[in-house]
Amino acid sequence: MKRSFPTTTFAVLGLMMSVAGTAAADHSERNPNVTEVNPGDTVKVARIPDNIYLRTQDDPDDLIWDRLPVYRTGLTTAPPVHPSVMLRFDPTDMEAKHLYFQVAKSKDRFYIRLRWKDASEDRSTTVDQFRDGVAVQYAIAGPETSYMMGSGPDNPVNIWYWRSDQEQIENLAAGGFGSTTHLPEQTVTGASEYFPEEIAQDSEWHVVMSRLIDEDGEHQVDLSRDTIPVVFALWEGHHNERDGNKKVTHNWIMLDNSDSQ
Amino acid sequence: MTVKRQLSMVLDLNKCIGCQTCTTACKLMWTNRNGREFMYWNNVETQPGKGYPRDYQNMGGGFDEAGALRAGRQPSQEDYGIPWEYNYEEALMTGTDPWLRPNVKPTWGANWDEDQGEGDYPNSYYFYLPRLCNHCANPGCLAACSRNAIYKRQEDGIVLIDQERCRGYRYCVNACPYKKVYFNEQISKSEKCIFCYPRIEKGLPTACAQQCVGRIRWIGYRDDTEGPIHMLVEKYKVALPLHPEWGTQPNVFYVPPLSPPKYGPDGEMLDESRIPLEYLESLFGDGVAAALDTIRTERQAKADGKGSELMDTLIGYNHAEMFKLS
Amino acid sequence: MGSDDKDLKLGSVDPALEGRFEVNGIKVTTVFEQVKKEAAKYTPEKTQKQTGLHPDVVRQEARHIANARKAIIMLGYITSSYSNCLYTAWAYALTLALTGHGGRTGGLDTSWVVWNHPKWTELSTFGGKKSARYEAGGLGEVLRGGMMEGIRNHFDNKKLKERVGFDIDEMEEMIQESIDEGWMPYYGEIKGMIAVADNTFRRNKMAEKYREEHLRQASELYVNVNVRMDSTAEWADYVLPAASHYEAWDLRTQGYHRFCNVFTESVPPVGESKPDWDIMALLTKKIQERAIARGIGPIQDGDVTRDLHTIHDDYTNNGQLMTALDATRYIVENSPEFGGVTLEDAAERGFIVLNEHAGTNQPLQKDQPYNPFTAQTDGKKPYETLTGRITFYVDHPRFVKLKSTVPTARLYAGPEASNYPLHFYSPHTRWGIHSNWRSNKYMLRLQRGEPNIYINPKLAEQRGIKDGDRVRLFNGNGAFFAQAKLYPSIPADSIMMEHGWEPHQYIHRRPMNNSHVTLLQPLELVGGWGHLKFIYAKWNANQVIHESSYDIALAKPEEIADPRTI
Ligand code: SF4
Ligand code: SF4
Repeated sequence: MKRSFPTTTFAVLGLMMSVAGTAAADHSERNPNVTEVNPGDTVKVARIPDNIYLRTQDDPDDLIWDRLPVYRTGLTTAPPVHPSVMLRFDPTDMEAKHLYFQVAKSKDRFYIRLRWKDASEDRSTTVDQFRDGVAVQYAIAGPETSYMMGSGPDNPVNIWYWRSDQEQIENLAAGGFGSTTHLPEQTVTGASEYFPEEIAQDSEWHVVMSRLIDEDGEHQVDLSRDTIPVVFALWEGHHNERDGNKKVTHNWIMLDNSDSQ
Repeated sequence: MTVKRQLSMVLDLNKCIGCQTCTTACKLMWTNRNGREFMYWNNVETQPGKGYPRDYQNMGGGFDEAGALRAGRQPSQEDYGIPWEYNYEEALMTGTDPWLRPNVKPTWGANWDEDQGEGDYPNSYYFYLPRLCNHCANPGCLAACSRNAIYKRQEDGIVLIDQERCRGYRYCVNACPYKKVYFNEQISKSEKCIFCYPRIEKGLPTACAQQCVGRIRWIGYRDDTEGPIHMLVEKYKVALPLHPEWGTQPNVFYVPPLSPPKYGPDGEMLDESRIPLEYLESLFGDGVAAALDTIRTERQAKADGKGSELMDTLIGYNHAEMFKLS
Repeated sequence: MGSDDKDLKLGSVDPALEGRFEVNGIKVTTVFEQVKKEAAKYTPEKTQKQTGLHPDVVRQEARHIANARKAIIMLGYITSSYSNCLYTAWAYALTLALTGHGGRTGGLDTSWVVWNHPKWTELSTFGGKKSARYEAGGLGEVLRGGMMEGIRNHFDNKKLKERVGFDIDEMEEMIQESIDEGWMPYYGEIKGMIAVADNTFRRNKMAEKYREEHLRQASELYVNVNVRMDSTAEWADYVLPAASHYEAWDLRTQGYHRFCNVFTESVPPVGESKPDWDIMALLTKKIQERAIARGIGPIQDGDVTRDLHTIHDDYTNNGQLMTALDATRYIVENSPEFGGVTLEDAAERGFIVLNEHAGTNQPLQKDQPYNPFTAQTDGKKPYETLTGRITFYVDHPRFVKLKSTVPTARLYAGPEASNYPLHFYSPHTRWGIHSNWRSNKYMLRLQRGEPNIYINPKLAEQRGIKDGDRVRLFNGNGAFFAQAKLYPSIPADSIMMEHGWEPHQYIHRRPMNNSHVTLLQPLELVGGWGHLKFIYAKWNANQVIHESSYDIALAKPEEIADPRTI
C-alpha cells in the first residue's frame, strides 16, 4: 500500500485518524478478508473478468461481491461549516462509523459497492423524519482538491448520492459549501437493499452504484484515469442527519485504477 | 438584513372575532392541495393556548441574546394535525358506511383548543391571535438555510424560499420560532407564506387582509410616514411584535387586547382586568401597558365626541386607507 | 277630552302617570302604577340568586343605559329560543321607555327587521292575488311533527308549572283554544312535499318522529330541491339539483345593513343543476300541462283560488320570467327602493344601496342611521298597536290567566322542570349558516372533525371526562354521542353544542335533535286582541328550543362501535 498525504486539512485529519482507530461500535466483524483503509491510503480497483455476466447490473447482493476484496474505513463527524450544522454538531461524538466498500470495473462500467450497519431503516422524509443516505465524492482534478465539497467553482467535485427513498442515484457537482447542483446528465445507476437482522444493530444497508467508464460532460468524474481520489459520506436518518450533519472520510482515499496487476 | 423597502402588517386583536375567514381565504388560494393540506400559512389560534403547531411557543428556534441561532424541536405531523378526509361517497351516496366521519380519529388540528383559554367561569378569558409569517428583518429561517435558498426581496422585504435551491433540510422549519415554514413531504421542499406577492405586485392586499371580516388588518410600508403602519407602530406605539425576545425582528405587529373586568365571588365587578397584563407582556413585550393606556384614552376621547385620529384609523372605515401599497 | 286626529300628539293633555282615581264610581289606577308595583317584586337584590349578577352591576348597567345619548337593545334570536323571551323583550322595551330611548335616541331592535321590497312580494304572491297559506311556524312544526309526545316524555308536569307558569296539559289546552278561536291558523296534515332551502329534518326537534310523520303524510310525493345531499334531501323521492352560490343570478338583502348584494352567474351550474327559479318554471309548466289535460280548474282555498291550469303563466308572468336572470332583472329594474339602476350596473358594482323607499316604518335616509320608530317619536304617527302607543298593559284573557298583564318575569323550563340536571343550549354555529357548510371538510378541519359538545373542565373532571373523549348525552327521549371539548367559559352545570350538525354526522346517525325537546309559549299564541293577532313575521309562535336538558356520561366503547363490526 502506497501512502500519499496531501497537505490540506492536516490538523483535522490527525485528530480524526487517531479516533478512527479506537472506536469500534459497529465493527464486530473480524473478517480477515477485510482490509482496514485509512484516508490517504490507496486501494486497487478490482477487475471483473469479461467472462462474468451480471444478471442484474446493480444487484447489491450479487455473488460477484463475495469474490472481490473488501475494504473498511472509519467515517467521523464532518466539521460544521454552517451555523445550522454547528447547532447540531456534537463535539463529544468521536465514534467512527464503519463503511465497507468495494470498487470494481468491467470492460465498460465502473462499480462501487457500499455496506454499513444501521439499526433502523429510515426511508421516509417527513416533517420530522430524515432518510438514510450515502454519497461517494470524487475529485475531478487531483488530490489537491479540498475533500470538503471541492475547492471553489474552478476545482469542483463530482458526487454520486444515494437516498433511501428512491432507487435512482443523483449525479451532483459542487464547488464549495452550499453549491451542490443537480447535473443535467444523470448517468449513474444503482440499487440498494436493507437486510434486517434479529439483532437490530447487525442490520445492514447494501448499495451499489455504477456508471459507464466513458461518459463525457462537464463535472463528470473521469473514470479512465489511473488514480481517482474518493471520499465517502453517510447520513443516518434516525439521528436526524442531513446536509452537513453527516459522517465523512477525512481526506481522500486514492483508487488505483491502473490496469497493472 | 437591509432591504430598500419593507411591507408590514398590523392586526388589531380587539377586533378579531376568530371567524377564520382569513385562514380559509389563504387555504383555498394556496394550501389546499399538493402536500400542503396540513399547512396553514395563516392560522388563527386561541390564546392562551397551545396554538398551531401544538405548543410551538416552546419549540425553540429564533436567536439567543448573543444573536446566535437557537436549535429547536422539530414539529411532528401530529403537532400540526393530520388533515383528515371524509367518506362522503360511502356515507351519503352508496350507503355503504353507516355515517359521515373522518378517516382518522382527530386528535389535534390547527384550531383544536379554540375558545378554551384560561381561568374559571365567570372569569375565564381568551382572545384570538391570527398568525402568518412575520417577514422578519432578521429572519431565523434565512439564517438557518445552508443552501442560501431563502431570501428577502429588495423591493418589499417579503421573505421567500427559492424552490430550485431548496433541498429540504428543514433547518428553516426548526429555526423559525413562529413555525411559519412548513415542510412539504410530497415535493421534499419547504414552503411558507409568500405575503400573496402576486397580488401585492398588482397593488392588491393579501387575501387574508382583503377578506378579513373584522377589518382588523392594515398593510403598508414601514417607511411611509403617511401610512397606517407608521401611525400604529411608530407614532402611537399601540402595535407590537409577537415575542420580540425571539430576535427575528418581525414586521407583523399586533394591537394588544383590552378586556372586561373580573367578577368577585358575589358577582360584583372588580377593578382588575380579565386578561392579566403579565400574560400579555409575555407575548408582546414591555410596550403592552402603555399601548393599552393609549387605546383606553383614545377610545374615551372618541366616545366623548372629541375625535381621535388613532381611533379613526383603528375603526378602519375604508380599505383604501387600510391598505397602502405604493 | 280627546281628539279625532289619529296621531300621538298630546296637545294640551297632561296624562296622569301615577295615582288612584274614581271614574263613574269605578276605582281605577294607571298602567304605570301597576307596572311599578310588579317591577318592585324584582329588585336587583331579589334577582341576584337567579341571575348571579351583583345588584351593583345591575344598577350600573341601568344607569349606563339611562346616561347613553343613544341606546339600542338588540333582541337576538337566541333569546326567542326561551319560553320567557316575551317577558325579556317586554322588559327591554320598558327599560328603554323609562330611560327615554326611542327614535333618534335609540330603541329596541330585533334580528327580524326587513326592508320594503314590493316587487319581491309581488313575485312571491302572484301579484298579491294568490298569496300562499301561512302558519305560525312553531305551532305547525310541533303539531304536524308529533312533538307533543316527546314533550310529555321529558318534562315533569308539576315542576314545569312551577318554572314557567303552565304545565303540559294547560299548554295543550291553550294550543287547542288558539286554533279553535281562529287566533292562530293551522292547516293540519300535508299530502305532498316540495322542499326548497330548508333542512327541515336537521332543524326540527324530536327529529326522528318529525321526519317519520312528514314522510308518512307525504308518502305519495316528496321532492327536494338542493345544492347538496343534506339530511332532508337524503329522504326524498326525487332530488332536483339546484345551482349553488355563484352559479345563479340572485339578490340578497337583510335588515342589518342597507345593501342588496347582487350575485351573478360567475360559473355555469354544475352538471344538470339549475337555479331554483328555473326549476320551478319547469315544474309549473308540467303541472299546468297536466292540469289542463285532466280538466282541473280553479280550486277554492279560503279567499283565493289555486289555479293549477294557469300556474306556469302566473308564475312566469305569462312567459316573461322564465329564468333566474329574468326574475333578477325584473326585480332590480322595477323596484322603487333600488332607484332605477340597471342590472348591468348593479352587477358590475356587486351591490345596490337601498334608497328611502326601503324603509318600512319611515323613509330610510341617506347617510343617517335607520333609527327605530322616528315616524312615531318625531312624526307622532301612531304605533301599529291597539292603543296606538307602546303597550305595557294587555288584558287578553290568557295574559290575565297567566298573570302577565304588565311586564313581569318568568323562569325558563330548563333542568329544573325535568329529571336531567344539565342546562343545554345550542347557539348558532360559527362554521356555517345553520347546516350549510357544516359537513365541509375545510371547515371541519378547523374544529374537532366530528360533532362536539362544550363542557366546563370542573364538570368534566367530576364525571371522569377528558378533552377529546366521546360522551353520551341523554334525557327522557333518548341519547346522542359527541366529542367532549373543554370550555371554561360555560358554567359547570351547563352543556353547549353548536347547532347545525347534520344527523348523518352523528354516531349511529342519532342527532341531538332526536332527544332535544321544545315548548310553545301560550302567550305567543293569542289572537283577537288588537295588534295581538297572527301576522306573518310579526306575531306568531316559534318553537322555544332552549328549554331542554340532559345528563352526561362517558360513552362506552360498545355504544359507539360501528354496527358492522358487531
Ligand atoms: S416568521 Fe419565521 S418564516 Fe417568517 S421570516 Fe420570520 S423566521 Fe422566517
Ligand atoms: S378574518 Fe379577520 S376577524 Fe376573522 S379570524 Fe381572520 S383576522 Fe380575525
